[in-house]
Amino acid sequence: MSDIIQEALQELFVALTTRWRKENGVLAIGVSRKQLLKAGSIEGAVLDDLLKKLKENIVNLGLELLEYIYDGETWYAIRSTYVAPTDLKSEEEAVLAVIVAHIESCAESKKETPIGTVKKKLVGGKYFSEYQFDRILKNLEQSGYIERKKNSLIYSPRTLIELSQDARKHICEESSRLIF
Amino acid sequence: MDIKINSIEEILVELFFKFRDACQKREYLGIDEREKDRKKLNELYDTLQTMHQKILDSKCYLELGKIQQEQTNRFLADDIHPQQRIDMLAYILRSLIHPVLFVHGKTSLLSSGLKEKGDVPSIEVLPLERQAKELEEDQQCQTAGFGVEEMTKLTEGIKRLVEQYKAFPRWQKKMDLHQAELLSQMIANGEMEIVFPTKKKELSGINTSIILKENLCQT
Repeated sequence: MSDIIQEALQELFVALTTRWRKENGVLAIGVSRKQLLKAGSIEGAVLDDLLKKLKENIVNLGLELLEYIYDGETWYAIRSTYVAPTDLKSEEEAVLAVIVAHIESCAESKKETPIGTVKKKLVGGKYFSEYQFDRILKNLEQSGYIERKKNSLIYSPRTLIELSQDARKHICEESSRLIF
Repeated sequence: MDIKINSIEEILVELFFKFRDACQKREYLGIDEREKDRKKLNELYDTLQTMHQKILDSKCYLELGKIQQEQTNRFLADDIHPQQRIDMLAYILRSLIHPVLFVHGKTSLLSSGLKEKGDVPSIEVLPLERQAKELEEDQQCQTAGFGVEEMTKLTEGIKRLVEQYKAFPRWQKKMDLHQAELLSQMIANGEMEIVFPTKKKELSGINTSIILKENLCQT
């Protein structure tokens, strides 16, 4: 592989694994295609080729390159192939699991859950205080796991990337057994 | 059809529990309320008539099964502390998650990053050398003791002053306040006597310790 391509791959890897926040303060998951094209001043075909090479190179490290659509734009991120610890605290993981359980139990066409329902379960069930719940919800929002849509919560790309469909269903079943 | 059945279930279950609770608590439900419930059931009547009995039965049994399952789960989870259950759920999520890779970059919010830029570096004010020396000297000061020796020195000094200048107005001017007070005390103790001859007969022979205030003619 030539030095130029090697250097380009390194820069691409650095760009895709940078932790940066968007204007609204929410953590960005990866980088958008538009930003990569603009930063590298390259053609689309060249970028696709580089992404393909990067994908092949990182497989041996237990990583995989993902492509997802968000707000009409194509984004790229790198995810671990294996289960690994996240930067969430235990209580945040639990709340995220409850939110996932609620959303998964909704109808297919309406993948959202009212905040009040989740709050009623966790605050009403005396698992958390109201302040704790609000703080955890804010952290999950800032970390890119959930989004608020009026008075409802919906998935953000990070939850869909990090938790597969089967994982979410399993969490839903377990949550119904543990949280009342 | 499923949606309709769900709403029928909801209505029937709601009615069932309402009347059951009223019966248990021996509460009286008003005529208006009972009339409303009757109307609801009346509306459902056509649907229930056309619905196959087996479907109704199977739905009913399914719901009963779900209720039973939930009751069993609650019973089994009753021994586990709520915080433990939260930790268990967190563990389940942790064991299924494939995290996105972040290698570097700021974890703080943009707003806190802007705050950091605006921070003014602290200015340290250092004392001047002279001030520092004075401070040191002050720290070295000690309280002076005033014993018999010091008193003797002062009294001897006053005596010398008086003997040196003989005339009262001269050594009066040379004396400071402390010396004058000490002189008054010495006279009051009898250590010293100052005599001023006076034309005023009534003052003749009178010794007073308040000598500096007495402006008498001298011989």
